[in-house]
Amino acid sequence: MGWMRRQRLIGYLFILPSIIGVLTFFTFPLLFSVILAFTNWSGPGGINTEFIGTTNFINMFNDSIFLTTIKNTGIYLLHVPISVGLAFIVAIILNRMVYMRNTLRAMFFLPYITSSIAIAFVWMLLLSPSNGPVNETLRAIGITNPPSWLASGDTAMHAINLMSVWFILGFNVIIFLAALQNVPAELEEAARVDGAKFWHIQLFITFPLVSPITFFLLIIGFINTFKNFGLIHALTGGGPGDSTNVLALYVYQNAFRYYELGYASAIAVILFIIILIVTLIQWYIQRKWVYYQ
Amino acid sequence: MSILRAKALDQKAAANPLSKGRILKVLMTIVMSILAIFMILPFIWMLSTSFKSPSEVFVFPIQWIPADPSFEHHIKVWLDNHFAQYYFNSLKVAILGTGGAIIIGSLAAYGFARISFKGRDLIFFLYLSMMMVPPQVLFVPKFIMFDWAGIYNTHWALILPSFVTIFGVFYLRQFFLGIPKEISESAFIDGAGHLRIFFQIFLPLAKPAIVTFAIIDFSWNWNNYEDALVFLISEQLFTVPLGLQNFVHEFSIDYNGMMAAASAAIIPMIIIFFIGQKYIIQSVASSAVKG
Amino acid sequence: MKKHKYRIKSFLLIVPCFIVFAFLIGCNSEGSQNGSASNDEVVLYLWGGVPAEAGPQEVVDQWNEENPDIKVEYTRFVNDDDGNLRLNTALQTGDSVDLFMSYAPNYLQDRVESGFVLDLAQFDDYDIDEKMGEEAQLWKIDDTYYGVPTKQSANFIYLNKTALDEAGLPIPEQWTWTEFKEYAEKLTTDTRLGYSQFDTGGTPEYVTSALIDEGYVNAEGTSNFDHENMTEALEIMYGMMHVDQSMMPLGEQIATGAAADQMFFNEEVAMLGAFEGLLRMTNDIEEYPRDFEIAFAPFPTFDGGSQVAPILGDTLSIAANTDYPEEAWEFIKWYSEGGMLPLASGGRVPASKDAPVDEAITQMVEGVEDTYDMPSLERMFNQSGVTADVMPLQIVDLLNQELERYFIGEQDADQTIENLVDRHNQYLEN
Repeated sequence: MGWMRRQRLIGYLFILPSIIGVLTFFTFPLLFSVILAFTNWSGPGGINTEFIGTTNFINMFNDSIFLTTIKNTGIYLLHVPISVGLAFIVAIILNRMVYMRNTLRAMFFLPYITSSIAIAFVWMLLLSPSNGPVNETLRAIGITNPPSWLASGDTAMHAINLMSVWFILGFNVIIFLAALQNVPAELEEAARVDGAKFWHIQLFITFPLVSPITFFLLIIGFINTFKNFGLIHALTGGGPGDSTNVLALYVYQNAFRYYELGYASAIAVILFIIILIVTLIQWYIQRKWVYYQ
Repeated sequence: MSILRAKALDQKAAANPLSKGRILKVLMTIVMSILAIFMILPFIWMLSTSFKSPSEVFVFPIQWIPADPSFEHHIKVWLDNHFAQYYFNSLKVAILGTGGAIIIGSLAAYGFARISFKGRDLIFFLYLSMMMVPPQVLFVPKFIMFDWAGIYNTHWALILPSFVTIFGVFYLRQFFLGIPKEISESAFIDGAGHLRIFFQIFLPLAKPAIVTFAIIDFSWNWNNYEDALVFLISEQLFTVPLGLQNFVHEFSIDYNGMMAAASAAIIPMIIIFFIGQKYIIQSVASSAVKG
Repeated sequence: MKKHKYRIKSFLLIVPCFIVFAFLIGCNSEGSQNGSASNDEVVLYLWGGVPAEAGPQEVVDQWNEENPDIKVEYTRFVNDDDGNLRLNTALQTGDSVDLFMSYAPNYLQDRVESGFVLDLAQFDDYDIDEKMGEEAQLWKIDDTYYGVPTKQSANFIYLNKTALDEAGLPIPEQWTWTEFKEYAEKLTTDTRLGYSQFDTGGTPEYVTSALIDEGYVNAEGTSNFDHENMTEALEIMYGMMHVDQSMMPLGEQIATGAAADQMFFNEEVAMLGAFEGLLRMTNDIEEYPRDFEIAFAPFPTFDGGSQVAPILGDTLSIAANTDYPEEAWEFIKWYSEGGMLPLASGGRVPASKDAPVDEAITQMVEGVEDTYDMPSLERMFNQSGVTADVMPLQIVDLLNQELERYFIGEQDADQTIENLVDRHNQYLEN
């Protein structure tokens, strides 16, 4: 066997274990699930399963909760770019511009590993409409009618967004920090000698160099926002009303609360298609701003 | 630029206590500290609750420092329940899972970043798309599969799936793509094979990313509740997140005990974080040398 | 391009990692599928939602002592959506569940539809209807029993008797929602609310009570939520929250995660709407100290309406995949006829007429009798009335969603009723 051919083979072997894993733990179960979406299967024992075609998909568009969850999911996505942008700034500061950087970095990462029950508990008390510290502060600075946060359908989703920025910030920061380590210091130095302002350097030199990672954080952030509902589940359970119910939570409720597995699968398929489209759009736009070496 | 010069700059700053850079650094430290305190409020609540009595839990405004701290709940956690067993199980699942994920994931990431073959990017996108599947719909099919394969109610049901990390592959791929192409190309021309390029060039250069991935992946595996919930039945196999459910009584929650256990559960993640940070900072020097 | 010094150091770092790795794989005790050996010994796995140390372990130990050849092992699941998911997946395999508890008819129904549950019609030596009374009917699915309801579930109101005495109010034995509202108002002080509901996720009592005689669905198969009692119920509750301020507004209670039980113990709430299960907490005066006596009252009724009857709960079923249906059946009978007594301190009173009910009530409050008004407690396990229909979880959820909107002031009562009827009817059509 020639050297080049052997190298090519080795190259395939690099990817193979991972591909097999994905086929086993994702693709195969997914196909199973897609088939379910066309049935009225209501339980793993499935004695009455029959093929009901597209009924589930038609029902979905008459289902007012489903339509609300689509809207809420859209609003929920907002926290991703905000958090990524904020994390870039925080990471630059924590990279070199502070004392005690190890401790500070750890503190920023802590929400990510703290018990979600503790998080829900503290945030609920902080945001308590009548006597929570947040609203007392707002009143003290002259806002007579502060928002009710989680207790009102108009503001609950925004409160969730706010908390999500807080929650995910540390995660984004440590990913940025790792990326900043490979930004050659001499580039910055050269720019500084040319008299460029600090934040100009960050924006025009550092930012393009870490753009593959920024791109990564946005994609991952959006995907996770579509998929996860842990924070919402712990805080509001989708309420008040259905004002914080999101697609992923609704899939969970249908699958494991109402045991409408066929319907849950159908919503999940739609959810999957939406994420795919959103990711494809980002993938297409990346060539306009992501810079690969 | 060299570290020497960076050090010289630092020394210059140190010599002049009122230099502009220094004031800025102090200022930034203060601002970041205030933000950081805001970040750790739930953590503090968790700790303080673990030292409180049940009737103090719901006192409002929150008492951040318990009036009469007691170690009772911490001692009870380690003596009463099989918590030590859960802890060991979690360590096992998280270390094995993360170790496997790093090996398999970094290999695949290199493949997708630096080995050219036909349709690579399309395959990668399809691969990535599997990450977009809502996990809830995979439970039942996975359950049936695991039961059939005989790994239901064993730790393998948690470990094997965690070897497959689309997140990790995507992350490391992005990081590898940031490493100048010429490095690997010239090594290839010099006669170095993929294996050698991977182990001797990419792994050392990507150390910050691999360590970061390890920190994150470890915390995921350590906190994996859903899979443990569905795939583990026997009490002696329980992991910490499942064990925390023991503090949920029929109509009430033992917050003190649960927070004592949760505080203990956070320790390995903090240790890994601090060990990892060392490697991330170390590499600043190595990347500066590289140029 | 400069030559790169290939460093071998980081490669060496991998070696210790591999050693740890290999060690852990070694520790991975092979497929410990439910531990126990399977020689001749019969082992039944019993799943329930009560923590083992709160009674079930004692029950199981007692059985194992009396029946050395049939061993029962207890597994606990948390009775929430996640915990029920755990049980339901376990039910698919034959070897990890033989007996299990269902805490709501909805959950049992799902399990039956999935084919997980054994039809009990094949056993003819125990007449469930005769033993448990007609209340057991609620648990019938397709006209047959898939489980034996074992305990009496009673919803009632916990009263701070000291507060009642101070306000000069007698312990009500039967009352209307209007009278209840007046009580709450009179009991409200600067530091204390008149009333609070313990749990916020289920069907509110005032809804059950409003439609107890007409049912949730009328003869034409459409929603009954537009019944006049509903409007009255909504206005009474809204008035309590926003006019009398004798009750925490629902939105605030949910958003702050306020613990109504703690508020009751701390005398920040005078009346607590709950159920018998909470007795476990009120009995535990060490963990939950209090300085007052507790009395009990049934939930109110509407003018001319019936009382909501207590239902039966803790329904014990046999898994369809079990290898030992006969043995499991023996356990169910033993449990229902008194085996369950160690659970009494959690408020569990047997449903069977032949079980020692009085003994259960005595055991229930043993040692703390003098912190209760006993006559009123005994009345709670002797209520009669009309049994409410089972409401599907989808309807429970949509009901709570619309009620939340109403109580936080996002829609008025008429709009709420209209939405309820629309959404309910839409569900009924599908």
